[in-house]
Amino acid sequence: MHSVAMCPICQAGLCGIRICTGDDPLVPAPRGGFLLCDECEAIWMSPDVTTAHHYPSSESPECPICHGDLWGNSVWADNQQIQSLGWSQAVNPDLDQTATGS
Amino acid sequence: MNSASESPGNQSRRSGVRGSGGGRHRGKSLASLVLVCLLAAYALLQPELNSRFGWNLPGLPDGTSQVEPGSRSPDNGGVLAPRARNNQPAANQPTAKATVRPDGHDADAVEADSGNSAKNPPGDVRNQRNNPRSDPGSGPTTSDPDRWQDYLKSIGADRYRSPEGLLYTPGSAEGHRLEHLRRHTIDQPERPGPHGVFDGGMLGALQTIDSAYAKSKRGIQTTKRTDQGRTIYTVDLGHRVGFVGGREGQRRRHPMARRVRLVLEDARVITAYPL
Ligand SMILES: [Zn+2]
Ligand SMILES: [Zn+2]
Repeated sequence: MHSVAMCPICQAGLCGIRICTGDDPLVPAPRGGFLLCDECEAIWMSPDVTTAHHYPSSESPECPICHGDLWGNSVWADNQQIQSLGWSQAVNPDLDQTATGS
Repeated sequence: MNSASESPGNQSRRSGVRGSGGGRHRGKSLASLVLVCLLAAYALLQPELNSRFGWNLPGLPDGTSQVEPGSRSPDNGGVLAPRARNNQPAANQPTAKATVRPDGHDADAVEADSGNSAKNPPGDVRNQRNNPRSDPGSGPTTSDPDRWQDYLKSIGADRYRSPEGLLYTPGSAEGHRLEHLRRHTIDQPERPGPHGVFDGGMLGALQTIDSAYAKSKRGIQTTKRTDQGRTIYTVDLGHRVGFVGGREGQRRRHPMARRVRLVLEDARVITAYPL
């Protein structure tokens, strides 16, 4: 998990970059990026936590790109995916999680 | 209290009977009476000293210092260093998943009401709604660290309610809020930033969260923020409820935490952690 910032809302979560993978592996993935706080689940649509955020539904959260299941249709983006989003500059390497957390 | 003062009496009576007659024996029994008094005083003072000064004085092995039912807790949690803390199975299982059960629950599983269709929640919260002792709030089994499952009431498929009315429902990356909560019962030393860790494993966490929620409803030592349907409470519980872990906690030598942050959507727990 690569993060941009500590969450300004809950102060305990990491705002990690997720990428939409869509729900159909045969269809090219929508490939949109967003930030998600891994603690309070706030979502930002740009790699900047000073912009507007919103919260997904607590019980049926949607991926903000494809509106499929948040956890099924998006993943924590790896370096390559982050690069493809053009968000590499936003990553704070000090917040990288070693080993677990993907 | 009673047990602590009773048992020395019994013991001295017994030793008096054994040492039948003779000044030497009388002296001996006097000495043992003094010893018993000292032990009783120690048994009474030990928890208080531990909680007040954060010491870790050992309890007496024969049960004279037993903790009264319902008085879990901050006291016990407070005396334990973060790493040495766990006597709770739940907290000892950093990798525990929904399919893993804490040891020794076979008997409990038999007890569970199989007539109810509600599924067991992740982290093996079993359905205990058949529990006839469940007067709300009294927490009949809360003195047993293994029985955090009993603390919650099943109210439908994968939905659980705490005595204070908080709801634990499916959600979060872990699949269920209780599984997310479990992350806050163990340290994650490699995690960037602070990582709040509750004392007392899952039961300790659930009880502390309930206490914080009760306080927040009365607005006592609480700050409240609302944002798009979310309510974020920060509640000072006035005593140790956990410690700060994660990389930041490690850097700060695991300071104790006495505040709890609750992130709620109405009564639904999104997340909660000590800070
Ligand atoms: Zn998506
Ligand atoms: Zn957050």
